[in-house]
Amino acid sequence: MEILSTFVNPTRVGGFPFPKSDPEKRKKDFSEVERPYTLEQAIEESKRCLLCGTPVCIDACPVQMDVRGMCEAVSRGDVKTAFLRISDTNDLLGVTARCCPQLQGLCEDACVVHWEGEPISIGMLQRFVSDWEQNGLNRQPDPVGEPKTGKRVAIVGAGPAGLAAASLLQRYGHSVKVFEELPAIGGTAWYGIPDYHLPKDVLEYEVERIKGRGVEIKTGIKVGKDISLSQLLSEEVDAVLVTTGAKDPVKLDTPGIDLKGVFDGYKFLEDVFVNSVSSYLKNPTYDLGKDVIVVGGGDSALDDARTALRLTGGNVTIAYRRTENEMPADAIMLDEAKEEGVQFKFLADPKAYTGNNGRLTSVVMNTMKLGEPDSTGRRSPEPVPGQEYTINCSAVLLAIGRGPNSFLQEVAGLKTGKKNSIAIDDHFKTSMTGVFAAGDVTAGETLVVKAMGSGREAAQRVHEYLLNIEDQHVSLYEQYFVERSYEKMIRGDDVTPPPPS
Amino acid sequence: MKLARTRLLQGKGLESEYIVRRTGDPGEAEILQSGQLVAHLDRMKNDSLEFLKVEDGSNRVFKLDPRVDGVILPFSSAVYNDDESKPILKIRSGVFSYNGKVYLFKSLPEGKSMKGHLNGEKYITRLDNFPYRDVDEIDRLTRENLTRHRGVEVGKLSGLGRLEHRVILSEELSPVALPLAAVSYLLYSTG
Repeated sequence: MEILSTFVNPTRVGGFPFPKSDPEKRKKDFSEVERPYTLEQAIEESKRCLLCGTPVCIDACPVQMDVRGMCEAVSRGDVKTAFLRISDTNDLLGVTARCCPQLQGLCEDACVVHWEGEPISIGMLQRFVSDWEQNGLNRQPDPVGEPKTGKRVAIVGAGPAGLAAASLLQRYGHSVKVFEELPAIGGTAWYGIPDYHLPKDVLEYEVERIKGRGVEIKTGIKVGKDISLSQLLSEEVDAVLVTTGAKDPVKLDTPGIDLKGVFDGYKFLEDVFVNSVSSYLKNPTYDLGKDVIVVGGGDSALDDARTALRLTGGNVTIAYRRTENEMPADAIMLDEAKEEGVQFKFLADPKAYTGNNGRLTSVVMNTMKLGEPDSTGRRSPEPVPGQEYTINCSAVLLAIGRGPNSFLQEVAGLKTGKKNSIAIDDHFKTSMTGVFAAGDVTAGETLVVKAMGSGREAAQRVHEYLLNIEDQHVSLYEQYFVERSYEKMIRGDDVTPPPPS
Repeated sequence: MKLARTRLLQGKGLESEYIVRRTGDPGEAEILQSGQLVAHLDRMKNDSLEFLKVEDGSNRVFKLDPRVDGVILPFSSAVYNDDESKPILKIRSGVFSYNGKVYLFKSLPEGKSMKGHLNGEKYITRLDNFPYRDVDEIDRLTRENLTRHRGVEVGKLSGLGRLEHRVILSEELSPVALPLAAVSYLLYSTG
């Protein structure tokens, strides 16, 4: 750190990982945990950026957001240019600024300053720029699209993958109609991410902007039930892109799992947030009691726990079958949950749910031990015989993983891959001519920004298919790679200006 | 495009710890082992190919191409022995295979907490029990979820290339340790 500090401050503005609201206050409502930067803080933080000739932050971003260009512009106080640069490839700036686990395999993890100190707070800067534009006074014009092609595309699913694809296809000049079965737009970003993490007005603003460009989004329509894929193709559109996401929860046959009080944790989040949490609070439908157990170790388990804590004000415990070291959950969110008072039981897994008059009253837990590694390299949990114990509880929320939404592929007869995902080739094509697929429905549950990246790549392929230019394909990443060459940056004729001398 | 041809110098045994230090543009660096210069990284102007010239009297040159099987992807590189057409290593989005085993760049070994990501700890891990032996075989779903995989630590990475990027590799990777050190610098630490 001593060596790096000769030319850059190794600590980030506002503290690491970012400024947060007081846990004792925030656990009582759904107000945002993260506290935003001021303009002065944003400028100070952006000046820490080394403006690398090889910006690995952009390489690590699934949508190749121009992080370097954002930092350069903000460092001069030019927030407008920063916004124009990063919105070019990212239509959900406010969403991804808040939801991306930047420090785990994405931009901040890749930031070269991370080798010697705290990486640039890219998420906070992105949020600052996004909030600046959303504040009502700084609305920026939409990017200019290509001339109309006369081609029509239907997108099934208005989650992050579908929205990113829709926006890009519209820019390519195609007519785009999105079909969404739920009443709300945004997919997991709407109903799977609580408001303390992502306030819904942020997502609504970004969805309205996409719609304002001419993308039509129809909610309450389930493709495969209300209209078939083949009907869409024959009557309405020239190509279909399926982005129906991840939805099918892992099913267990634990004794007692059908007792009242044992809930699907993913459905719980959907029911609480789909019509806005304020609407739910007026008419709550879950009777959780005061002692809730959440089973699982991922981000959704944390969200279940923190949401249950806010709704009940009671005791909430996460039971995970491995140790804390093996938990796949975001490490920052895990700390936040602990700060708010969520309890944890590790090496614990339900053996049976027991109850009275059909209603859950307790869980019999297996004590687990870590055995040999499985195919993912993580050590397999195994029950220790004779060391079961009982925990009294009033509700259980199950968040043990979800697979791809299998509905449409089953009714339409699309070829499937692992875990009932839609099988696609390198062109994102499914087994049905004219039908493409992208996002979690092809790859399993992943991040919002990865789904967006997949949606954009697929959109490019759909565009090439529609115009019969598939043999001219150059990937979005390669286009960016060629543009950002170091020599171009030094000459000053790349997409971002050279660093100040 | 014209490719550079360089002289090869006398061979030297490959140790397990390298320091890579940027010397000019991001694509230019020197590589040291035990304080001795063992290789140079150079790039032709207006070209994305990198040349790793071994400074051991053998005149050996490795060619590092960001294009892997014709496709440019993030954190990817194909390593060739000079003019050979088949790569000795393919790193695709931070994953590579060698001698029938699959490895991950910048991953966390089994038993390490996810907080390691926050601390900036970075390792190369070998994926034992992995159902594939070659990067070309990995299916889409598995590829998308590789961040959940944990392996056995076989390498450690640290430091910024502008100062000193340090790559420590275990003996099983020694035949390809030098190009791996160069790739680690180029993909993750040029600054």
